[in-house]
Amino acid sequence: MSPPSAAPIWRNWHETVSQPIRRFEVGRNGDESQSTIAQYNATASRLRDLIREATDTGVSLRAVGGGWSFTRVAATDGILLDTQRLNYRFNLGPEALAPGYDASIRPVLLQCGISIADVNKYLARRGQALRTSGASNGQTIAGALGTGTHGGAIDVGAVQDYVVGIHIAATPDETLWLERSERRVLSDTALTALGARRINDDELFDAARVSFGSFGLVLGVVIEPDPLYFLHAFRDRVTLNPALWDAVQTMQFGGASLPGPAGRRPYHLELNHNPYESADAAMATVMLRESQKPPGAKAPKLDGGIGKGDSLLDAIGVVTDTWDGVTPFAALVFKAAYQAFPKAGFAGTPGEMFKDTSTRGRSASSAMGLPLEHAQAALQLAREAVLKHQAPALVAMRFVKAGRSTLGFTMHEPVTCILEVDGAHSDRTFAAQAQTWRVLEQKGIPYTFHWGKMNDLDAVRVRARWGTARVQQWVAARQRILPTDAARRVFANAFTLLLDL
Amino acid sequence: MTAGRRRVVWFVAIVALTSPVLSCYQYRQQALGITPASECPDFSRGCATTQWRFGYAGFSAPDSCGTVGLSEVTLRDRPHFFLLSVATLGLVSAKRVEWKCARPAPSGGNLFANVPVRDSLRFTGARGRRTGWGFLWGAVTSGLPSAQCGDVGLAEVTVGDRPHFFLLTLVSGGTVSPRRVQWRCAGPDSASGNTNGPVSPLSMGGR
Repeated sequence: MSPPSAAPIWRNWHETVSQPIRRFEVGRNGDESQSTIAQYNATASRLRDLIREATDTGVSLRAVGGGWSFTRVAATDGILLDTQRLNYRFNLGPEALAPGYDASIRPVLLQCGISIADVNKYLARRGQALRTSGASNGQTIAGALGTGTHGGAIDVGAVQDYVVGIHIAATPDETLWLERSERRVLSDTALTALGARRINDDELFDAARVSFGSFGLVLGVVIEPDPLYFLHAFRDRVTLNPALWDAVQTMQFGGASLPGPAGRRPYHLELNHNPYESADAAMATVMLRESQKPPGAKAPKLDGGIGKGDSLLDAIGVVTDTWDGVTPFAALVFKAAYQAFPKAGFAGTPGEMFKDTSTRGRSASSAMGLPLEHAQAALQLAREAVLKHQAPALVAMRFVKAGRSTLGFTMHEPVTCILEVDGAHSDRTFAAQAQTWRVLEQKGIPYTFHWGKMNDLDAVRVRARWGTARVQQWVAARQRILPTDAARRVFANAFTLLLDL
Repeated sequence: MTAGRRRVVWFVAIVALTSPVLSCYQYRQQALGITPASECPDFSRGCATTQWRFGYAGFSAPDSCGTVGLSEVTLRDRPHFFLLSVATLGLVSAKRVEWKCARPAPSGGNLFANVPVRDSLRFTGARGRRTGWGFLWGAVTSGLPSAQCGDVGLAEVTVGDRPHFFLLTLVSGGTVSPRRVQWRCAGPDSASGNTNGPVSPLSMGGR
């Protein structure tokens, strides 16, 4: 570890959280030029020392990745461990894989702090690609896993759904290797090399995947990539007519008029609705999965040219909060942003399509997962909320195959509709988000919250949103991993205490 | 008070009143596809310091970033910095410099050493210079493409104030503000790098 920084305030990427901290620790591997298992284990040993210190002194310890979450989910007033430099990556040869595991999948072991951008590069050199990721690539793999980061891959799931093993340090004395009960990935020899105790338990594994740092320090994960593929994107305005809503409800797209060639099932689908335009219009983005790069198609170029300054979203928030009637003009900025993208003819690997974020400065984002049958009503309610409060915000929808993680917010079978209300950092945006949450509840529409985005969760609401049984299952799993009150206190923070988790 | 003195007072007053909006600009140079690893707890802006220079402000990668250099450098104006520039006719430049290291780029390893995997770190050694334009008090920017440094970040970024750029900012009321930005990629021999030069792989000898 490096010497502690003198600066006592931690701020997240989106500048929505400012948290005084006791200590800021930058995690570093002993050799930053090559990935070695000896240095991976040495780092794990130092992190266990940190857990011991936190336990002995009764101080909270939390790991933070890219700091992209809009909420205090990663924050602590104790020791904050910056994991961004812990980015080893390992090939897993036959000796490392459990007997019976299909070695042709070619899984990889990734240290906790490797960014999605670096994973994309590493996999591309191996002829592989992530099955899905968020819209940008700055999250760390452990952060994306712990908060349930998702993309828009309708038949795939979220990041946690391709993680098949988790190496975690929960107590100072040992490290644990968590896997599913019926599907071993790593061999006993591999676990000996990692110095980890194996636990094959579905309930523990499903709970630990989306646990936002509350089960311990995630040291590394094993993921299952796909062979390298390309995404061919098409974007155009669509009419939100009954045929399209039927397609959304059934995830069968034969009758819907979507951008791109007819008859192809989207790999990725998103709908972006500007409430200040027509009520039945949206901008649809369809990405088709191809094994070869389509001839003539180019990867989108997002750097250079005209761009927004760091403070633009913040300034829009201040202006729209100060003067009534300005918001529809601010919405023109969003419209211009849509039109900056070409309608067709761009394609690339997942790493080329979902790349560096261009969003800087304060902004506001909320995402709710809900069943497909409520998608149409939910979009309408969110639109009404934005218009009522004249919020400088947009409404978007993506669709993600439901997963098995206990507190994953993409839990609504068979495919979860994700409703997003995103915009400038403004009281109007917050009011529109709050009204959307309230009205969804009043209308009896079940929904869950993205853990890394704005929400109104507390102890009662988290149990209402996910169901008491799921929450109890998650709490019980955490108590098995962290068997004492002192151990649980180390990995708790104000957010988890508020939710009584 | 003479007419000349009145004009000076008016000029100073106008500059003082408008300096907050004239000084909203920031200029960022980042390495394409190189994600940051902040060394400081401000994950939004990174580490920060104030640099005082004559005519330009620049920043070189600190040792703590290692061989991979910087992911991004942002130079920001401040009202009192702007007033200082006015008072010194642009000769003295102060900037708030914010930087983030690039993440390390370790070669891939093997859980067991019996299957060698060799990969290499790409250094382009590139360097470039470009005029970056800021509009509408920083709300819109243009002309600052990311530096293509291969698998590493930036070694150095410099932002220059030019007298005619300074005057344009002043005369336009801050709606237009150009700056000359120079950058150089990190690498084992970045001092001899060349713009848009060929990518030269350098084996890190890892597995």
